[in-house]
Amino acid sequence: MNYQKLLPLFFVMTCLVILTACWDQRLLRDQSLILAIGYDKAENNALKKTVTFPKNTNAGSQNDEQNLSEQGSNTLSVIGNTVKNAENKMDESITEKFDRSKARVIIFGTDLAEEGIFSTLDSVYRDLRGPLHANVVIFNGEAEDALNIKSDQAAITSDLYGDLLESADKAGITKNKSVQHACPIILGEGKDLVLPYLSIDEPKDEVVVEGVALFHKDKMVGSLNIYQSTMFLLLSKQLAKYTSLNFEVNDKEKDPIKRFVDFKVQKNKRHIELNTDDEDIHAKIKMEIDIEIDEYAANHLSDEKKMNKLRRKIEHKLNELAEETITVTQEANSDVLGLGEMLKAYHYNVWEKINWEEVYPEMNIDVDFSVNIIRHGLLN
Amino acid sequence: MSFFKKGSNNEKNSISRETIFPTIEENIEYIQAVFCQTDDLAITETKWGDEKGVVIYLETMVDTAQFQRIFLSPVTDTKFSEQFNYLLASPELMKTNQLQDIVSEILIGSCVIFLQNKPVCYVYNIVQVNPRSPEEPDSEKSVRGAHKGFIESLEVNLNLIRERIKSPQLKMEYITLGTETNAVVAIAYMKDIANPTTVENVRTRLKMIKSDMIFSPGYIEESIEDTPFSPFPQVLYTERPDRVEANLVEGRIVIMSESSSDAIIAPASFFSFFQSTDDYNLRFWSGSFFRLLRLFCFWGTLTLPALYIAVISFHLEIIPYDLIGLVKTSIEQVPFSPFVEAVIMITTIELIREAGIRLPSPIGQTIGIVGGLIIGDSVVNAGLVSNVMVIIVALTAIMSFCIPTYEMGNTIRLLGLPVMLGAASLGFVGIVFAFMFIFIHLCSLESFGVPYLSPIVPTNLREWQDVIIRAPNWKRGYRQRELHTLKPIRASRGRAWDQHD
Repeated sequence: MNYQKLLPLFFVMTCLVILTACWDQRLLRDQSLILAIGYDKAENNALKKTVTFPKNTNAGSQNDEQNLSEQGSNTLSVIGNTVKNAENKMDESITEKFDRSKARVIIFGTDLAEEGIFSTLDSVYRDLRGPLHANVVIFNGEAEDALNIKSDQAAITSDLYGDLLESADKAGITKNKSVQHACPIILGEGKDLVLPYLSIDEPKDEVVVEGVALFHKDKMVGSLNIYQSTMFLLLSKQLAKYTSLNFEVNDKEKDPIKRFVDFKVQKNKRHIELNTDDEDIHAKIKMEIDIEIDEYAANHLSDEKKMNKLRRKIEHKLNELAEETITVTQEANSDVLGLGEMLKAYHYNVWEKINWEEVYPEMNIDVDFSVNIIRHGLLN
Repeated sequence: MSFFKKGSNNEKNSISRETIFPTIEENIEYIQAVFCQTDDLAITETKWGDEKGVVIYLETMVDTAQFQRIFLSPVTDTKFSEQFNYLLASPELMKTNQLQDIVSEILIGSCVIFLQNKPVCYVYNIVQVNPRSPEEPDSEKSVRGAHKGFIESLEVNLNLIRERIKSPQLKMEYITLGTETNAVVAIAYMKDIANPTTVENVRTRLKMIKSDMIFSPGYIEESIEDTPFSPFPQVLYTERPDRVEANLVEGRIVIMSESSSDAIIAPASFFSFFQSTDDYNLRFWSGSFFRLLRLFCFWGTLTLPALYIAVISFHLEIIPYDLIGLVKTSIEQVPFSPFVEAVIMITTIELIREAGIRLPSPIGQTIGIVGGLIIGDSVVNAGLVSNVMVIIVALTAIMSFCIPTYEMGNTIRLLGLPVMLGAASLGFVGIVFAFMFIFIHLCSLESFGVPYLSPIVPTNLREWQDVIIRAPNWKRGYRQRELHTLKPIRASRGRAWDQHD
């Protein structure tokens, strides 16, 4: 073979590959990383997008260690017709190109959430590099305020929210839902979405978890407080690593500490019975949970009688809380437990006849907890 | 002896005579003419008993003390016939009447004795050897096991091999190469194990070498390997007799040349470059771990800088959230593209390495410190290169040095560059392309008929236990299949006592 003839061809090929390929380059250096995104409703049906991105602290790069400790984040708010429109406007006002693929949280203000979140999330589902993994969060108030908060707990705002959500998830207070997880629930029938609900604690200026926001389709319709949301997680079999509950069981005790019992849920079993024989559908939820007593100052529980008494008290309190929780969801018409889905799966002929959206708020849901104390500490 | 004639064509043209001349004077004249009246050709006239004789030798080649002791003093002092019989009995003495033989013998350090009126002459080899002691080679150190290494003498080296393999089946073949230098090259193999076709193949290729000198084993390697333009070495070098022993018994062929401490082992497969003698001295677990570590180093050296370049210039979304801030801060002010940045850093490390090798060791260390610490630190402080890139490149260099054979380490470090180029132009796709080329090449590569990637390609799962991990010796009952040895089954029932309960 004549290699001399092939040389120019080889040269051309190399140039082609190298020159055309660099077109797709997206240097990390030239991108501003959006770490948290907030969406709010603006006037005239416009959308306000707020983003936070880390500061370019390396300006005087003489002392690297100092720079790393001086991390912080900037926020920027822009109003546009749609998400992408706002994004394009943002690029006009900043030197680097925005990249939202690393966003950790997407925060919705309540005003926007009540109108629906799906149309806002639309661009994420279309984008190849969309932040599908970001947690969706509802903020009681304006998302812009949420992102402008200055906290001592974390240098970067997105870290603050990300870590807060993660610890709340572990403690069994809320359940994190990423953009990707939210989609099938919003679009599916017979189950409604639940998202973490945050707010600012005014006097301390700190972000706190309020509970969970309830949705119907993609619109926010109500919220559960922290206790109710823990109960909701128990009922929906989403047991977290450290789900613990605190109940007042001895209201006659003088010592206030002795009035309470604190326990951790180790295991929960659920059995749902949907009764469709009668005209009106009703559901029976049987819960069996194994608990571990963490704190009960009133007694060491060495006596079986006392333990049974405590057990019954806890069962009673749990049933009360469960009833309360379910009433809230029924009032909001948010089928967070997915009973509709279950009905659709097991009793499809019934499902076809009824309009679930009308049935759910009216139906009877009974919850019956049976508690098993499996551990009560080292003391005997 | 035909190759000697081949080796000295030019003399043959001027003087057509083949056997020695009848008179001493003619012979002396002839030899002086052949050696171009060189000053170190000594011609000592002496009396051998009743007969007049002359001893001719190269002063610079013979051991003078030996010459004096066993040669001149006894011969001249006592009765000739007695002493001559004594001389005749010694193994170094050779009788010849071929002029060409005489010339070549003088060249390798013999002295030639001409006696008046004798149709033959006596050649006595008293070459002066000044070998260094067989120390452990610097390039292949081992922690445990033997610490002997080859030296620059073929005799000593072959002796070291024979010392280890006491078998009549170990065959050595001498071939003289180099039209000007006449260096002896030895092929060693186990006659009852090595594949005869492969041996014939090696022999033919060696004999085909037409070169004026065999300056180093590199000359031989370049002349006999299958694909000379491949970046991968296709024969294995070693300076360790134990490694040679293991490979000979495995059925490979060893080529050694005079005045070189390197043995060439052929055929070599890709994975033999990742084996070190230390593996076999360590316990099974640690031996296997280190071998896996080396294979990991191979991947790391090839991919690490490329992956980093691809990630920060194309796929930044795959950096974990907790890491991205750190990476972003470090590369924020770097004025170069990641590829250029990597090339700058890699060139610097190669410079330090190259400078360190050539310099005497105290200065070499200083260069290491100056280069490694000062340049590394200030290059980051000045903002020319990001500190993550420094970490990546330094790690890559260390990984490449973990590969026990020097040639393979160099090859892989070099191949890192095209992979990086691919990464810089197409991201992960580019890396995949570069790897495709490399692996297609590796799969098609052969070393003396043995597939280079065996036992991965073609797959032979049984042999993986000696290339991916190091299975205990008593578990390995077979020789490598692709070598097609005459004895495919090894005697390896090391734990026979354990078999009966």
